[in-house]
Parts: sequence; structure tokens; C-alpha cells
Amino acid sequence: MVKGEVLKKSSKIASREIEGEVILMPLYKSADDLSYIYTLNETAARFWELVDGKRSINEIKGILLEEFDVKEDKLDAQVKELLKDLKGIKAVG
Amino acid sequence: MAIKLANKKEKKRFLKTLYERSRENRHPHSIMFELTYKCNFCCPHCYLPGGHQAKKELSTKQVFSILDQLRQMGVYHIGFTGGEALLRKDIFEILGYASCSGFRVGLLTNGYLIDEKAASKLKKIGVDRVDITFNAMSPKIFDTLTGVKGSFDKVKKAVHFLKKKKVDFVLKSTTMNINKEEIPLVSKFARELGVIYTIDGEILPCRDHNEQWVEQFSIAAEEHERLRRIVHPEMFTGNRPASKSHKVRGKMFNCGVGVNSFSITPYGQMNFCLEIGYPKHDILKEGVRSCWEKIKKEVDAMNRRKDFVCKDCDLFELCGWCPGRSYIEGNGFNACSEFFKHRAEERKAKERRKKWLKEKF
Repeated sequence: MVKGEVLKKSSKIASREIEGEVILMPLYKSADDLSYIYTLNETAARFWELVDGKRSINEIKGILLEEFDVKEDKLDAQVKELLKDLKGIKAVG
Repeated sequence: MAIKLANKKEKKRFLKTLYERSRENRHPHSIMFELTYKCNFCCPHCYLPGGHQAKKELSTKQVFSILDQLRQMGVYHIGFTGGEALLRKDIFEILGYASCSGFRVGLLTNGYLIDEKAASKLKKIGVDRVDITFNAMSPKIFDTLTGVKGSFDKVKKAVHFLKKKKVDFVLKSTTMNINKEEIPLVSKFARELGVIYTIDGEILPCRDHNEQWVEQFSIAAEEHERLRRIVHPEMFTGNRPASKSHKVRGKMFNCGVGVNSFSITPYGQMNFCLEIGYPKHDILKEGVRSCWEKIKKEVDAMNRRKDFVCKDCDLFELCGWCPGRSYIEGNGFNACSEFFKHRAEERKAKERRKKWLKEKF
């Protein structure tokens, strides 16, 4: 994870908020991908909301540290894991 | 914090939760969107009275605006239908916009216009399911039912194109006296293709209250049941308990109307559901949210009616009556339907026979 890296949401993913849940739906068209949807927990949903193609990962983390009751090393690990997942489903570029 | 991958089981559970929450909160969840009344078939049993006013139809921009509003309201699934939706020149643009907006997208079509190119487009756009009406395996009967010569060949080819392009699709039939012997053959065709096949035994009266075709084409409930046993034998194996009615006595609407569903016409009107041309709230003038709130109030008022016609009926639990059916029969919402009453009486007699046999042997 490069801390100064700026993330951009992929056009191949649609994100929705339905009944209080933030969900990601892949739009790329292999048969398997379409049958999946992904849900984000509260922190991940806020991370996703803050990804705007301008803020760096570090900046986003700074905002999360202010907004959530979480220690920096724990957040680091969680963000690392989330990024791995988001990149895995081609949600960010 | 980690993102959760919804496998098939998790996804099903998650979607059920979303659906239940939408019912509790009375948010629209799954809606139907008629895009045109124009049709290239002339099925005699169609519930649409025919004729379309092209000039009144929503423009692409207006459809997009409605989709944006539906997205904001948290609608999950949209079923696009017609008339024949594929007759709209901007249909792929609309389906693409809906898919990219994050809706689950269904398309109900007669399939006539699906060639290899169209099937590829549907795949690329990411349409989740295509429902094809397929009423017979005999070209002669099929063409008689569509009113278009050569339609069987075209639609059968469409099915193969969808299969080839790996588009998820289902086949559907209405069971009628003219095609009842065809149903097992269509079922076999669907099984060979490995696709879901469903049958519907209810021919709806036309929206203009014309019931001529209902009488002419309907088959008896028992006959439909016989066909169901052929089409879905797995549902009739073992000692399955009879399904319980979830209807609330005294409540007129027991479906999703006014709870989490509605339908939109090609002219931008909001209706209770697809089958009923009521109450025609003007979305272009008032916006989707405002029309939805009005519908909820109307349904609530109907559900509170003290003179509800079925309130004390002893057939209530066995009856498939819906207020919409009474409405399209031309008697208003609060009226008994002879069609459903007859079916409920048949069901009651069957249950009585069953009970008698059980006691006797």
C-alpha cells in the first residue's frame, strides 16, 4: 500500500445504498462476476465514500481516524485488507 | 472493515434481509417499468387493450430522470417490459443506464427481435435476466397465438442466441385450452436447455375490462394443476404440507402494492401494479417519491375499509383473489371475483375430498 496513492473508483463497479447497506455491484460481464454483490461495513463504506480520485489514502485514513474510535495501527491493517479486496474486484484503479 | 464477498448462500440471505427491510420501511424494492405499448405481436389473450400513443411516450432523458429518482429511493430491481420493450430504439441505452446505475435489471420480451447482435448487447450491458414468453413447440400453434407468421422460428432462434451468449433467461407460458398439450413439450425443451420454465394459469381480463378472452382461453384449475405436476414434478414428491395462506383477514391488499412495489407506464404514470391502469399518478409532474407516497396512502385507506367484501367470507384463506383482478373485471376494487371464487370453491371441494379419504382409510 502506497500511502500517498490516490484511488479512483472504477466505472466497472456500481455502488448503491439500499436499506442502510452500502453495496457494490460489478458491471463487468463474466458470468460469475454478475452473480456476486459485495457489502461494506460502516468504516469501509465511509472509506469508499471518500475515494474521489483526489484524496490520497493517507488523507482518507486521517479522516477515518478523526471520525471513528480506532487506533492507527489497527486502521492501517484494516485499510490494507480493504484495498486488497477492492483491487481484487477491480473496484478501484 | 473487510469487504464481504457474498457467496450464493450469503447473497440469498442478504437479499432477503434487504427485501424484508424494504417491506418494514415501505420503501420500493422491485418495480416494473413499461417502456412502450407498441407491440409486434398480436396475442389475443394480452391484457393490454392495444394502441399506443408514441408522442406521449417518455423520452430517453425522461426515463433516465425517473431511473435517477428510483436509485435515490433505493429501488433494487427493475423489470422492463412493454408492449414489446425491444421496439424502442433507445432500449439498449436505457438498459445500459439502469445497469450502470446499479439496479438489478430484468427484461420481459417476446424475443422476436433478439438476434445474435442483440443477445451480445444484452450480455455486455449486464441484464440479469430475460423472460421470454414461449407458449408452444408447434410452430402453427405458436404463430396462431402471436398472430405473426414465422414468429416461432424467430423466437426459437432468439432462445439459442441467448444460450450461446450466456445470457441468463427463463421461458414462460400461459396455460390455455389452445396450448395445454404443448406445455409438457415446452417444459422438455426448457429442461434440455437447462433453463427455468414457469407456467401461469391466469388469463387476465383486458385493462379496458374486456373479459372475452378469459372465457375463451382459460382452462380449469384442475387442468392447470395437472400441467404443473408435469412441469414441476419435484414440487409434488413426498408428503409436502399444503402451503399456508399469509393473507391477513380484513386487509384488502396482501401483496407488495403500497408496501414495496409499483409500476410505471410508458407515459410516466405510476400505477399500483402492471395489470391495473390505476391510479395513473403523473410522475413527470409530481416526481416519483411524491407519487409513491400518494399510492401508500390510497392503499392504507383501502386496507382500512370496514365494508371489505371478503371480510367474512369462508373461502378467504383458500382464495387467490386480488383487488386488482376485481378492478380489471370492471367492478371496482372492493368486489368479489367470480373467477377466483370458482377456483377457491374447487380448492375447498378438493380439500374436503382429501379429508374424507383420510378419515375413511
